[in-house]
Amino acid sequence: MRSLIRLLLTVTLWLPGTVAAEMGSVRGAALAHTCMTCHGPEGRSHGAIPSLTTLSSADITTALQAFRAETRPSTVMHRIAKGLDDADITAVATYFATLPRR
Amino acid sequence: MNVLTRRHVLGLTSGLTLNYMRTRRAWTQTPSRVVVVGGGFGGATCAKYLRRADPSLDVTLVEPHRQFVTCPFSNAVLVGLRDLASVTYTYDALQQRYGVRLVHATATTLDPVGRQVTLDDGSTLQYDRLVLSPGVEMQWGALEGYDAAASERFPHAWHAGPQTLLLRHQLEAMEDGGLVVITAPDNPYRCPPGPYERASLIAHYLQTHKPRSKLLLLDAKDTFTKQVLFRTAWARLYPGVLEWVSGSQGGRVVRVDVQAGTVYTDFDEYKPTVANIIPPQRAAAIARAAGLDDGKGWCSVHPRTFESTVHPGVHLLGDAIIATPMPKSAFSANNQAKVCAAAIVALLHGTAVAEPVLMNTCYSLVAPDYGISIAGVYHVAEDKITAVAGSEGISPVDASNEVRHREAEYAQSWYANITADVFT
Repeated sequence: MRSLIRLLLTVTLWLPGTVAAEMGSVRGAALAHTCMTCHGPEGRSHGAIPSLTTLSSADITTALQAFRAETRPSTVMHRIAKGLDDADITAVATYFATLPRR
Repeated sequence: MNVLTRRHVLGLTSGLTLNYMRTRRAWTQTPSRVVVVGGGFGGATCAKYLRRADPSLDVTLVEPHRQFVTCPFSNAVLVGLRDLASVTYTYDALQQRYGVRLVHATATTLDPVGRQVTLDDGSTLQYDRLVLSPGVEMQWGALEGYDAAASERFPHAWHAGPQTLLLRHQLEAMEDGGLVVITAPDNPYRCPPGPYERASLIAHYLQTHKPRSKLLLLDAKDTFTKQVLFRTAWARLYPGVLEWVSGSQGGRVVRVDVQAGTVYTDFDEYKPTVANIIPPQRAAAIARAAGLDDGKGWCSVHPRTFESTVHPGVHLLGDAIIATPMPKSAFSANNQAKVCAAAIVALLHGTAVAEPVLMNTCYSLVAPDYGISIAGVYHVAEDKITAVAGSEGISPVDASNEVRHREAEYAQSWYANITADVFT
């Protein structure tokens, strides 16, 4: 009985988190696919635009927040980052961290 | 089972990869069929991302040409900064890596109820979902005296390829001291900053190679995209070389006469050595089939799925649609294609369509080492696209030379990356 309660508790506590993560990953992939237009397939860039696969999830989060606040110099990213909310930044940073490093 | 067998035969005859065949065999049910018309930034991206998202889909790309020549960076080809081969791509990766079936033909008619398109070779393709991304066509005759034959004398070079080379050869053959005229149409048309980037790079070419020559940009409009950035740069870089004439100051071209070599505005006539006529445009014919454009020349869509507002089951992308405030750019087409592909997969699987991610970034070169940009992030509310506050805007007017130089490098890098995203 105790183990059944534990199981039920685990399932009910775990499910909403999983659903949120799943939705976050769908959003993260959709955002990341858009980043890739400039930053290259799977975030590996040819040329002057930085690759994203060398950055950690924390690096991407910090950079996007700083671009949005205009506390970090940029050319175009000040504008793009203002289109992202906090959940978007977390979702896209998490997604890129799942891609192969380089 | 019959259908599956027939498709296998089709697959063999069109030379599909073994990998694709294995994927196909693994499915016992009839796979959903998506037909994509047009192998440019919209259609090629959509075909690839459909197969990436769901390898069980039967995706056919209908495109008359075996190679795709991009309009982005074709202005660099015009003035000898690049060659045409460097802006030319094949569909090999789409076929071999992603298992997209290529049909080299032109889609001519559409039956939105029977869900079938007819090709110019008389064959038909059935679909569960259709994606039309055929781009624009020149509206021959909309400018008096300007038709397909006239474009052999006064090129438009607004489809990249032979027209690009024709205009390039004319510029190269022109003697120093000549007059180049570019005419820009009213909105909407493919690539809003295109005429102004082109004028900039031709002015750079003239200044470098033929310094006694002049360029006149005759515009139907009084305002244009990134205007303050272009005009600031022109005053600094090309004084006495490039002159822009707005519509209200007599820039609107009303007639051309290629026999006489004359370009007419309301008040003046010009005898240019080289004339580049960028005429009025509209959605290519197949996007106007079956009333998809509502008789307006351009198509409207529901922006969460890019499904036609006229016919269900038909999706439209890229330059053929009005997606204001998203411009008719390669970036927009590529971005819309990804949203559309994800939505089609969701619709076919009966799952929820995700909130779309819509963005655009357009770089223009004012000189080889001087770049400017416009960008925007968009969201959808009540079936309309609107810009997210603060995200939409152009490069700073007072940016340093270093920033301009960096944006020129980013323009080159963007081009390498978007073409890799679509064609590799």
